[in-house]
Amino acid sequence: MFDFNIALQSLIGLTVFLTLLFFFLLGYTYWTRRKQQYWKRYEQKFRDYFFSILLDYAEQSGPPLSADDIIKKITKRTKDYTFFINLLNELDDILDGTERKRLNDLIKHPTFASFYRDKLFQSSTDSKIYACIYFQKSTHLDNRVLAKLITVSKSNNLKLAFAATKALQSAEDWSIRKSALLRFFKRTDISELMVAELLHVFDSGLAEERGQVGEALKDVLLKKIDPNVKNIIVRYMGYQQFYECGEFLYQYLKRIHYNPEKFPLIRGLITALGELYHTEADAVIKSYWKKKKSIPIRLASIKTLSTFGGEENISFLLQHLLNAEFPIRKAIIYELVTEEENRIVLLTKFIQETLRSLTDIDIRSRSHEQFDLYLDKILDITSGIKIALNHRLNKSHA
Amino acid sequence: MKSMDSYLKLTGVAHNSTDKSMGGSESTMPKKQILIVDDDDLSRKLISRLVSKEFDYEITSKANGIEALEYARKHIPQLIILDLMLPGMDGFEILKKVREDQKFNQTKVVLVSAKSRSEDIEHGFDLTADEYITKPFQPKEFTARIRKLLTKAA
Repeated sequence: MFDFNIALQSLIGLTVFLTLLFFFLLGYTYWTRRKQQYWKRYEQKFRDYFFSILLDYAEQSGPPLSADDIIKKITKRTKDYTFFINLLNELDDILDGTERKRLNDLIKHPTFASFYRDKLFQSSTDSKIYACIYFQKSTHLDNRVLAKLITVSKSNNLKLAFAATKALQSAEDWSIRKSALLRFFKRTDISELMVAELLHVFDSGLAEERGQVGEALKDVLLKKIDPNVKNIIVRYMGYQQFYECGEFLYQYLKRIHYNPEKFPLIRGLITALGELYHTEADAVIKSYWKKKKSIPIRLASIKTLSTFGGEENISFLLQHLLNAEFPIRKAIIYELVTEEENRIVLLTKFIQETLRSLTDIDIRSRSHEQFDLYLDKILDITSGIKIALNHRLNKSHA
Repeated sequence: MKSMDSYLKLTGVAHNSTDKSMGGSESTMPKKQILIVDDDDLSRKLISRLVSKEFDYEITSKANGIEALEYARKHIPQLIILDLMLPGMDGFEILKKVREDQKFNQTKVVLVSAKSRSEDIEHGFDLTADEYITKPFQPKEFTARIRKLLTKAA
């Protein structure tokens, strides 16, 4: 039997419960926001205070302060150490020379080293990540820390594994750095941004390490990893001008098995070879153009062939001007008009010859549609030239 | 909150600290200006500190490209120290606009960036930047380069 009183009481009870829950959640949200704002303000004040102290210490310009004196000013709160190390790291990225060296020495201070060593061995993920961030900047990794970092770098938690892999890049042993890099690249859950960031950490930018970095990247490219990861590595090699790897990338492009999955890698290789000015690659690039009709690959080829220059490459681009799709046509025109002066001469000659050939065409042998299409293309090219010339003019006025 | 206040009292941090301008402007004669444009708070403060310690100029810093350009048009600084990556309008674009405007004939522009690719440096000089400094930099070298430019401008 339906009891109205019980139903009413249940309804009132539920309403009261929901109201209480609502106010609890409201209060909780307000409290967490206040807490967040509080820590944000606190961090700002903390940074403002230590900014001058650290710079005085780095420049040795203020009252003489030792590293111990500075560290004594920090309370032993975890957040304070984290804020301090973050500030040090950021300053370290901006400053160079003796100032940077002094800041680095401060980062490696035994107080921080032992504090973060303890953090690394705690069970909390956040503590481990803080420790990894610290050890990324600290070059003195003892065997115990190294072993723990290697274990952490194999974690299923991507964020943690990434932080540990970056920290391992400060190891003195080159093989540890390389294997950590390869281990991370073999994962299937990583993003392209992570690959790029890790490459920047792996490559210290030091001239004496450049050869080793190049060789290590070549080795990684030969391993079984995702072609998209390989694409980022190849682009990095081009972008950072690893000229000594040009021949390797060229041979790699020659031997690559062509399949749609590898399109981005092929495009990356063509772009990198252009950036490395490896002109020997022009024939292979042209064969890719003829073999397959992938627009992104052809766009990369245009840029690279244009960078290589030379009459043969420019003529190749001109040959494809009339029959190519719109984006290809646009890219060719842009490269011909906005780069060297003599290319405009070649382009003008090409247009004149094409127009001359029009007068020779036996109109009756072609259908009206075909003829209109031909004319449209020529008109399209001339409009493109006009736009590209405006770009060039704007550029020269800048 | 109490812990922070007591901590700040202990360390002597002023509650109303600001980084808007670090140069003094008490004299009645308008001081020559240096404008620092960088979206990174720490870089902005660091450059302000380096410049204010070395040169007797009024220093203003901005974090946004559009705001910086508006400010520059009103105050015509002697020197603009410009980061490349900026919200609103990037450093190259600001430099281009500054060079197009006759008002900035005497203004020197220094590009500062973490980018150190030869193409970027080349592009900066194409757009007629007076100097290109890459991060990380040595403070002494940084101020020496600025001094050279300001001496030239004078």
